[in-house]
Amino acid sequence: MTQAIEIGFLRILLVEDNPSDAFLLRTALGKAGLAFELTVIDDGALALAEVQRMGARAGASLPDVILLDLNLPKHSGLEILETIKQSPALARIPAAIYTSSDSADDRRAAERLGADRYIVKPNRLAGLAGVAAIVVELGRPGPRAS
Amino acid sequence: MSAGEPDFRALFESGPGLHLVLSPDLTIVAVSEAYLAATMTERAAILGRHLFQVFPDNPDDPDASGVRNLSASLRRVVRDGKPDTMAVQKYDIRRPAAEGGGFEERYWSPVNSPVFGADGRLAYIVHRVEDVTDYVRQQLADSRTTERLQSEVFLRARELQVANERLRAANEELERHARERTELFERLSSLDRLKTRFFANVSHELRTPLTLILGPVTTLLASADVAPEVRASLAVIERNARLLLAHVNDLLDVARLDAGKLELAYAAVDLAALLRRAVSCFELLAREKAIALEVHAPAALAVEVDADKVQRIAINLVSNALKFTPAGGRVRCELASEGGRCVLLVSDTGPGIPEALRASVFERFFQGQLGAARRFEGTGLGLSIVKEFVALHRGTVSVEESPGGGACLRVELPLAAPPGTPVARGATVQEHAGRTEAEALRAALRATASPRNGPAPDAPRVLVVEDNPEMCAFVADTLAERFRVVTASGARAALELALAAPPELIVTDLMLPDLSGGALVAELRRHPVLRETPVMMLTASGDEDVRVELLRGGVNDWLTKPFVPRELVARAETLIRERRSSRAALLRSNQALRRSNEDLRRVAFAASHDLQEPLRMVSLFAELLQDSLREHLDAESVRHFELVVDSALQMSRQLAALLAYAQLSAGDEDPPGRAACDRALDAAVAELEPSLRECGARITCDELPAVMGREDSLVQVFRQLLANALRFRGAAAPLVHVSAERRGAEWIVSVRDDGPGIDPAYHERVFGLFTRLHPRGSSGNGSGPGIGLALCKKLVERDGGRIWVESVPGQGATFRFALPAAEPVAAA
Repeated sequence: MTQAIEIGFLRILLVEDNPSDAFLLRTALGKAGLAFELTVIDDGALALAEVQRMGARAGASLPDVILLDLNLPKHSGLEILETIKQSPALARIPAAIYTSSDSADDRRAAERLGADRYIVKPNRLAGLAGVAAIVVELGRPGPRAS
Repeated sequence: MSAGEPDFRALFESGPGLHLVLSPDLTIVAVSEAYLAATMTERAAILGRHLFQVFPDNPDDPDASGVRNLSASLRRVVRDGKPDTMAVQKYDIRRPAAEGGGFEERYWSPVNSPVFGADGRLAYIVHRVEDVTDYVRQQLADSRTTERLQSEVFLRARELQVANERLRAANEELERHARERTELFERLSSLDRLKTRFFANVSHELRTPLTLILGPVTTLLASADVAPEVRASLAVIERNARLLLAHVNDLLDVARLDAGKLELAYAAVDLAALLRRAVSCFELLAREKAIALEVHAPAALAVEVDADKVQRIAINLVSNALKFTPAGGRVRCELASEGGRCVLLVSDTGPGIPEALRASVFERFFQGQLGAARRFEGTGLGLSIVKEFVALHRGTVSVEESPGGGACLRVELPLAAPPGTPVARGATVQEHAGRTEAEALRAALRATASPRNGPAPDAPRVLVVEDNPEMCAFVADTLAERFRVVTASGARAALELALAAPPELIVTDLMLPDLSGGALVAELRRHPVLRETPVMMLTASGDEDVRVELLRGGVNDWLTKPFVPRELVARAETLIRERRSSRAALLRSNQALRRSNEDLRRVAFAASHDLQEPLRMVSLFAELLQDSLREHLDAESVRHFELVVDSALQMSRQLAALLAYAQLSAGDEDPPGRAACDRALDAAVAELEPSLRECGARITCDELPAVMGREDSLVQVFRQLLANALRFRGAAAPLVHVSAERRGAEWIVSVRDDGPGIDPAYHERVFGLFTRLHPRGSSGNGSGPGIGLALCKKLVERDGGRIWVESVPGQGATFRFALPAAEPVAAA
């Protein structure tokens, strides 16, 4: 990640209940030389409420990219993903699953619900830099595959 | 003839005794004059003939049982090699035609004795009789009625014989049941042993890398010149590693509990201090979750307990309470002594435990939260271990509702060790084993359907096979009062009916028009659904040899015609009852087997999935630290960091394989279909790309076919085989070649490497679970336990294939697997 990234300010919503994971992602994004705002919600129910609130209030400031853990308290990341993708206001925001599970079932379910990416949480620092790059790519403004 | 040698033949033939000498096949070989006279026979007419040809039953006596009783006695002599004394027999003698023909009434008292040859084998049977006809006639004459005498002398003896026969049959039946039960028990306990060994293996394998992680981290934390922010990160690593260790210890304890190896080591300790120490482990966690963690205990409380286990009880209770308490909540631990017992209360402000679930929270793998957002926060073993440890201390544990509405777990333990503790230890373990068994039994019983109270609509179905319409109607009517009866007039029809709707009992005649009853039974036993169906045979009197043959051929009981209706019903009921109870036993055992399997699968899944998370934190934070401290670290510290990361990654690989292995056992997947080997290999290579690049490996392949299987499985197999080749490589960059060869209906796919090869002695063992051929850490990145190849084997065999290795040490190894070829797609 030596290349400078010209994308301006990136608003990222991370739904993740493990503070260590949030910390690691924040560190990786920082190392990528990115100007960003990372909002972390650590509870499935709170995340669902927030997403519904965002979908209902047109013109509200929306995140540029959403990252969802799968195993969350009360509601799973898949439920939140489904809500996002069914909301006309939010469906176009890139939403990625960010999980430690690489089971084929979880992948299929995420794909079926319209996840834009399925990112398996890395266990190496190099992988973490890769995640930062993917987040930047997802959140980059400009033409997107429909 | 010498003067000193008597003429034995003359002595035998003219002696006063009534003797008949038989060969073992019951051919008459010698006879005394007295016997000939008593039986009104001639020597020349009977020598060389079969006993029962010469002495048949009196056809005019419907009760004649002479042949049956004599043949039974002779068979006992042949079997046991001992003399057999018979009861007084009525055995009528055929009168020569010259004297008017017909039969003459005679009573005999016979003894049959074996004579052995020089080779120790049975050579002859001497049948000696006394003619007691005159005596019996005298008795008859003395008595008022013939019937009374018969009942005194003769019928009694006959009854005794019948009773003896039944006893023998019952004994054999009993033995058979005992044998079946033993076999079931052995199957069950071998599975249980397997499970226990698996737990122990998993736990042990996971502890080693953890120790390697904790060692260097602890050393680093202990050194004085560590910056505060570094110390915080190191603490994250340490905490996660310790969490893992706790999970692993849970698993190990369960394995030990199951193996019955856990014993209490009583010691005098201060329980208050112990509790404070245990709770203090969670202070950080509580602060992170914004939970108030309180201890209310006396300054000191002296008790005699197994300190390690009581500490585990406290730890598990507190961790459980914390798990279910929301941010801002409170977890309160209270310790007090009450009347010779200490009471530990751990209450929380979580959702509480519904009344209905309070008993089940102590069951293994119980998870409080269910549904879509279900989380595996632990192995689900914590409370079950609490329960077991408390029980080991003869204490009690229960769930109550805490005043705030949350859960409150209450543990009571005796303050003092039981008197004569060392003596009691063995018994404590035994008690546990008994309890585990009782639990399994209870679960199995719960799952078994409630018994039915035989009202007519769901009474047992009985199939009656009889070609004589009157007899058929009689048997059917007799049985109809208790059973639902279906009839068939021949063996073929019976077989069809039985297969269409398997009855609980089949009553069949021995002689059927299209097939003998015996052949029908053999045919029935060929079909799995009818293999255990009891069969009762209706036979004519005098068919004893046939009956024995039938019993051997799988008939469960017989009844001699004519029979008393009540007896038919009673025997039918007995057969059905026995069948049902052995079926229920089988069901119970199967239930236990399934439960055991499910435990195994879940523990492996929980172990892999829950342990992966903290492990990822360990390796990432270690790398992060190493990265940010690069300039300040000496060579020693750098090595420590690398050791931490390597161990964590190695453990992570093992867990991934273990998880795959466990999921494979779940077996609820799509059936195999057409799977392209080339696509699977590409996917595997892509997944391994970082490691391939790291060691400069080259992978080449020929054109690869499509096979019948699952592409997901093929990817995993290729990945494991390639990873294996990378891990066990020679000095140079590894070269791996993948090829395929058609052999009949199969494709043999080969993965050849140029590594050190494998000694032929281990060619089979490498596919075993946890097989290790290299010492730990002998090669650069460590050799994990063999889950990978075991996984390959399971994957390939699940789709009907085989996997094996061919290798000469020093010349590389070739792993080959065979799978059925997918038919080529037809050209349009």
